Amino acid sequence: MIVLMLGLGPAWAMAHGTGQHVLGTVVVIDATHIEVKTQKGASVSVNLTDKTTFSSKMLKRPSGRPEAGDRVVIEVMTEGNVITATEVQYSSPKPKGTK
Amino acid sequence: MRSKFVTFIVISFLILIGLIGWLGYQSFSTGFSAKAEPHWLEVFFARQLRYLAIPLENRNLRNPVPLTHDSLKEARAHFADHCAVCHGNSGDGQTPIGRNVYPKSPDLRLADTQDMSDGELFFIIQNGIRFTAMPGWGTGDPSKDTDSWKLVHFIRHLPRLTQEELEEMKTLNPKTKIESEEEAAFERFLQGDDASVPGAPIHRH
Repeated sequence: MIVLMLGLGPAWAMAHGTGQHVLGTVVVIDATHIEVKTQKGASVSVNLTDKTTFSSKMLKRPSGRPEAGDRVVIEVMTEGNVITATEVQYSSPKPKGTK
Repeated sequence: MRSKFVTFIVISFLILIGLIGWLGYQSFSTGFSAKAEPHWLEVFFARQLRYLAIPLENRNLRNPVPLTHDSLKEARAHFADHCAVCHGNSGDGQTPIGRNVYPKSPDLRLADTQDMSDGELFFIIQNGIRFTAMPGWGTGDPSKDTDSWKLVHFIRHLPRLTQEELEEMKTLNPKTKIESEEEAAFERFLQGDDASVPGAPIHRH
């Protein structure tokens, strides 16, 4: 049985990423994904799931989710090329120096 | 009759040898990784062993600590400080450690955990689970057992955890210097400070 237990494990291996963050401004958001433009101009698409949590200290939106133009800090996990959000923090500040 | 029996034994033996050989090939060709998902058969036997590892007397214990607002608040802080690093504040196990140990940290909100008795949860907190990442926190000091019983109350509360409770727990999670600096940088970024943005779009811990 031990041989069976030890032997079967590797056949069902799955890769998981470690804790990572995506920072930027929301370009597009829908039920299943959020597209973020970073300050360096790169575009990053992140999947949203029913386990993704959303929070904001500054805003209280009825949807509880960020909108296009909001700033976000997204905690993600990666699996291959797929990036999935576990937590999204968002705000809608004006960048410092603007009126 | 006898020859049929011998043939059966020989064929069974050959099948067994073939199966062991195939499993050996699988093992040596893929190796072992803590990132693997346990096979359902392994999960089944591991859970049976975990069940048998908890003495009947302990399994039937009832929580002697009354469920109050204060005891729940105390347990929430305790969980955020000691347990959340693996189990996550919400108990979902989706942390860098919880996702990558073997077996994975379970989602404590689900029936697999919630259906366990108070005594079983208490025994696991106190004694840990062998061959997993779950340590035993018992000190042998009965006066400290009440903390574990309060944690049992909190584990029962996890499926109904509110956003406000989660936010409070975040402030109670232990942080390294780097994590504190990172969190401060994220906060400044959210408040509009562009200078806080790390160079790369994806920042690794």
